Amino acid sequence: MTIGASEQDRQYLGAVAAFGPALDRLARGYEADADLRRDLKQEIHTALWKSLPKFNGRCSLRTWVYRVAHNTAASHVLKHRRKHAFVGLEELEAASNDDDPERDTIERDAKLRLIRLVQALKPADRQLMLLYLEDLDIAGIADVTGFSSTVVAVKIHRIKAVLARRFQQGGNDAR
Amino acid sequence: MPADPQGRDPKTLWQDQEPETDPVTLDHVHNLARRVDRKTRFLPLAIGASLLFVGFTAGKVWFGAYDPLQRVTAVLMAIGASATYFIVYRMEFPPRDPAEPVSAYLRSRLQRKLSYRQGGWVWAMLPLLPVILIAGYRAVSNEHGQLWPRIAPFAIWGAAWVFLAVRMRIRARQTRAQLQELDALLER
Repeated sequence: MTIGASEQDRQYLGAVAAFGPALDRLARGYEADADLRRDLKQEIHTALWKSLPKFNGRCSLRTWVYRVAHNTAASHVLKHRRKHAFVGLEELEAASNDDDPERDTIERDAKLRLIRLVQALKPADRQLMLLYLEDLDIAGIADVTGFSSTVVAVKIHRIKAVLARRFQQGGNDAR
Repeated sequence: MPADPQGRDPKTLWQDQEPETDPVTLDHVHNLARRVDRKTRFLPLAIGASLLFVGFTAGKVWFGAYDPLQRVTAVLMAIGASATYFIVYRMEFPPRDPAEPVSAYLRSRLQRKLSYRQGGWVWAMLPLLPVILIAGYRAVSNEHGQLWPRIAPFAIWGAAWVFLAVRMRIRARQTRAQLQELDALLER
């Protein structure tokens, strides 16, 4: 399908009006460094704008926007690999929940703890966690990620367990 | 749903974050897209310029040749370099769907990286091998001067090749582990 530039702009503005704040949060979940986060946000918006002429309605606009955004962010993570290793949900689930008073004092803010928890996850687990936090249901998450509904359901169960332990009991964030 | 000490569930906490202070404007997106397009256009131009240079060098060798082997070398150089450029371009820039499912996107990236590290890089260099072998043969069979200065470039090239092979093996192992992890999630 070929569309004119103004139609592309209109579609982009519509997508940003609907999902702009979610894209901001997604960039925050992927990138802790403020400068790199700004770059990532710009990359996501550019990729979204460039992708829209190919949008053919075979999936919902929400699925399309999340796929483009997560694909761009995953490339960003692979490109800017950090020295520290990411952790998986299974490791978080199995990790001891000993309190670290100094850390807790510094990071009292639950939002900050949540952001750090997301940023520490491996890319695939992070995508699932982010989509869960954006309130997508299992079918929606499976649609965006391409994982089977069974895998998504198992992972969501783990995500809920990790979040329950860390936010009900005021535990530590991921290391 | 679990709640934080203040009684808010993680989804609400997450969605309640303050918006970023620097929104991306449409003009900015247009500028960035133009910059990306310029970069995309630059690569074929750079490849074209490099191929012209190869063609020029091959032509020079052909017209200055004083034996048939040199002419064969010129032809092999032109063909080999073109094939290498083509293979590298196909490896680096495969056709891609920007909105394919995230797992498929990640998998195709990792798979591409793995095939390159597992031996794709050798395939890309292979078309240049006949020229290198002929040049090496000529250097060794040339009886003027000492042997070592004549074969030194080939020894360095060989050492670089071994170094690259070891490095690629190590990196391939890391990529394979990532791919296996993703495949486990995809239940492959």
